[in-house]
Amino acid sequence: MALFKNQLKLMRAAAISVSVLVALVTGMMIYSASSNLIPASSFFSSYALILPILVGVIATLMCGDMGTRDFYYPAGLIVLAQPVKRWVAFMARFSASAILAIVPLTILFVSAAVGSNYFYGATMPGMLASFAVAVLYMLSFIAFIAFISIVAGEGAALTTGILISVMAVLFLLVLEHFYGIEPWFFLPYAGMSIGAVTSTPYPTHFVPNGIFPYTPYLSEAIEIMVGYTALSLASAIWFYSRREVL
Amino acid sequence: MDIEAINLTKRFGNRVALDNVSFRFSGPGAIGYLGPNGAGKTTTLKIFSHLLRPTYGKALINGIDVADGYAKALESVSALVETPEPYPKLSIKDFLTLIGGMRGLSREETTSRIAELKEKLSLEDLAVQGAKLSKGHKQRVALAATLMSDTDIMLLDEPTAGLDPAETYDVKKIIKELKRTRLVLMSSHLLDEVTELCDSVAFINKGRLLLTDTVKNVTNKFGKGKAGSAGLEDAYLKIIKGG
Repeated sequence: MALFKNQLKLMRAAAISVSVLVALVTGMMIYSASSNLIPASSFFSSYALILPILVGVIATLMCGDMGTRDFYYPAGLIVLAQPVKRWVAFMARFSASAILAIVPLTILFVSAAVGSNYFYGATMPGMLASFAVAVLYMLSFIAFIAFISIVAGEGAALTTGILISVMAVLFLLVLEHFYGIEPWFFLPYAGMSIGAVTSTPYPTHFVPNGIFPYTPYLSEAIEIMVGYTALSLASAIWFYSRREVL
Repeated sequence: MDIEAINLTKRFGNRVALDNVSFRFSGPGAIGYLGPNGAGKTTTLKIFSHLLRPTYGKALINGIDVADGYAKALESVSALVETPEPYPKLSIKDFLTLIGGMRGLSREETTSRIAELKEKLSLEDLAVQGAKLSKGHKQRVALAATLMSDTDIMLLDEPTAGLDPAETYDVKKIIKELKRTRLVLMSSHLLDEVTELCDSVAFINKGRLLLTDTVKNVTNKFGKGKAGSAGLEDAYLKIIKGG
């Protein structure tokens, strides 16, 4: 519990600054789209496409150093020498990070709803479902980033998180469009469901000759995200428990 | 209260940091752990505080193997190893509260212990963040974190490093108090400090434990008839450097 509270305190400033950043970026996007007379439906479909990128960036900015905080900061020399099992310490930090990361994620959706209502007089359909999927996606992303940070360090985690988030569209394009592979093994593929749930009806799983021929079934996306979360957490705990403070 | 190393060995790649070290110290009392830089002092203390795992051998705290049951073993140990610092964005109070919580202290116990340590270690403003502390102040906060709970065994790695003479005096006073009821294993390069505070000494060089004995016996045997820190200095040179 002490570590949980401590993690909340350590991340408070990051949560506030990322929330402000997210609100500004979302507001500017909506303002720019409406000023350029882009129709609401076109804006919503584009926004749905970039939502997983934004969620990935939020998760990375908030939690890129979560797994390494105790190993690279000199405070770890005291914190890790306390009579607390390492897996308990890791889970306390992880759960606090995940809970606090929901703040900027909520701001992302609320600012999109408020902004689109103000400029377009309408909100994106299926936002609640989209938010629910985004929460699960962020959880799996944070677990994955935590694992990378413990194994390869904070810098590698930040780079990997940003790279995966920003370049996801390109990776998906190459895998799906050029190689015809359904990238069920790639987390951002599951993230496509954040935008997909805003479409009525839910997009067809496979559309030959489409730019992105595959869209994950919602159940498939959930399975991928849960799988990533479970595997990343198990691996992260294993490494966190065995890692030495050199 | 005792700590025991059984054939303790630690390798970092090809480099042997600790080579088959065995000792057993029982408390109360203070033991000075002496040796040049890179001798293996910090590595030993890190293994006993579960910051490193031994390549071979065992580190036992009150009979519990640290590698197997660290959470239980560390209940009896407080460690100040290398130069720890509070988190840069956390206040001194929040940092000490964290350690109190991890030690299983109640909120009231934590608050009263922090007040006590503030006085003892002249911690001044508890609301100051870690990033704004001077080197000496960081060291005092780290020491306060080490003293948050009443453990049987204290592992102190150069506890007065970075402190001014007044702060050093305060810390030495605390160690003198501690050693009456607890086992203190402290590494140091300051032989006058070791002479003043410690009952026994252990010499280590290049990962090998060379000698353990009382300060008195060591100065008598190797001190060329000199008393106090001068005698220990001669003993150190003789044992470590073979001079």
